[in-house]
Amino acid sequence: MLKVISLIFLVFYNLGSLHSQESFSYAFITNQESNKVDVIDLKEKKKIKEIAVGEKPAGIALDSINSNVYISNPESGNVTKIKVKNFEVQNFKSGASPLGIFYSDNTNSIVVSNWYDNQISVIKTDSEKNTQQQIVEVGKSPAGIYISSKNKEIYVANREDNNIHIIDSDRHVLKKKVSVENAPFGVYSEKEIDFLIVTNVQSNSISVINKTTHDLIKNIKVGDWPYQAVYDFTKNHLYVTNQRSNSISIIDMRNYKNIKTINEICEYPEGIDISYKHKLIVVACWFEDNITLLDLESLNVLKKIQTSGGPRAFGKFILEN
Amino acid sequence: MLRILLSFFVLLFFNQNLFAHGPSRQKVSLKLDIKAPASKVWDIVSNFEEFNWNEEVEKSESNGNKVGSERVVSFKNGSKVKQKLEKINAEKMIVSWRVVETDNKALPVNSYAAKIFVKSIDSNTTNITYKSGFYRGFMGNDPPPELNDANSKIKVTKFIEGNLKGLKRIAEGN
Repeated sequence: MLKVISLIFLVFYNLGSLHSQESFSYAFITNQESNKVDVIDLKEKKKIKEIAVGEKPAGIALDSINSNVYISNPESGNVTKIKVKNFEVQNFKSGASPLGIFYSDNTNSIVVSNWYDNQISVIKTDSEKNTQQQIVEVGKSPAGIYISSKNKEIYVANREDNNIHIIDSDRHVLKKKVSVENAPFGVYSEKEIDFLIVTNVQSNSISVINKTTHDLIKNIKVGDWPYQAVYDFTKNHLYVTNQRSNSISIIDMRNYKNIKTINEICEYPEGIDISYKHKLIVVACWFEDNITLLDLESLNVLKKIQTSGGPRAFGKFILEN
Repeated sequence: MLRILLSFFVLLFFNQNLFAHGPSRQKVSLKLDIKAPASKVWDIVSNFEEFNWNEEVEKSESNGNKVGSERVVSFKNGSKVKQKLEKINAEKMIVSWRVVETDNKALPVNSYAAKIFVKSIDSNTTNITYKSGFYRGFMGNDPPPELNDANSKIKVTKFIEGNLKGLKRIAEGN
């Protein structure tokens, strides 16, 4: 009897997955010189599409529930929504010079940092018109953003104020300022981890902040001009791209030690993300105009894929199901 | 009147310093083959104290020839650009310079860094790759035309072309 039930279950399960969207694993890469988003198929390891967006696209935000990607266009003052299903685009207004961007799944909105305005905009994405916009004042030159739906907090790096603003995501009020080192730019975390990582471009360091207590745990030295970070759940290691040393620093997050540097990755490594499905570390190499794929296990470079021009990929950029 | 003028300049000064750079970075990368041995070319490229390549440059004064050394490059039009020797790798023949202070008339840039790669092709041919990354001259939003992305890129390209041309002339000369 049990066999029959499990057989029925299996049949239905498989039918269900047949009806749902096809399996995919894409990297969405913002290219500041070509004004395009390149879509890289990580299964085939090749570029499959170039999507025209706004001017000088920089930031990327992922909505994995509805399979949408959001792009910030700093020079055209708008945000582009890309539907993963058919790569259809829709633009909507933000503040002047949107840079950092993050999707909040519990409020179904995106939050962008407006570099020149010293503000963040909260833009609702559930209405077709996407016209509602709420403004929150932050520090000088806001860049990277992360939102914790569990803590109901927005974390913004203010590059010229050398601090992080922690903002209540419901009431939009400032809860705390955390001082970091010089020129904080990238902000990174995940649902499953307690810490928030900030890259301090001019101090050549990262700051580790506890998301719940808001304490600064540690500043850790990395390479020159760190840009972005990603955490490897299989090894408990954090990878940090260093733009001006062409390297990736590896931090052991069990003891916050910088344990290793992978040199000569590419010129100006910037955005970095992981595909667990295809066991890849994916790096956007701004100066080389390519995407460099590393094996997640061995950390060896596997392939370089040409992009349309000036890849930045600021924010997590891989969507896979 | 003087006070108004003064506060205007203060305001201007602050505006210029408010932002480290804009959100979109640019690059210029140029290559050139020189008919000279790589060792000879490298001697010129790696000598930070002597920068007499570019014909637009009147003089260059330096305080040394090691990582961290600085030099002031004076252009014939009166502009001055201060550069710093950031990295030098004699084994791989790569040198990296950074602009510390600039004059927008000569080089309208922010956070400018350049790398020069010297590569031996054969005993008397050397390939130079000259790469730079920078932000435009105007750091705020809505730049004036002369300091926008396009014009900053034109000026940087012209500067690098002048450097390469001069380097070729010196290295190929006797």
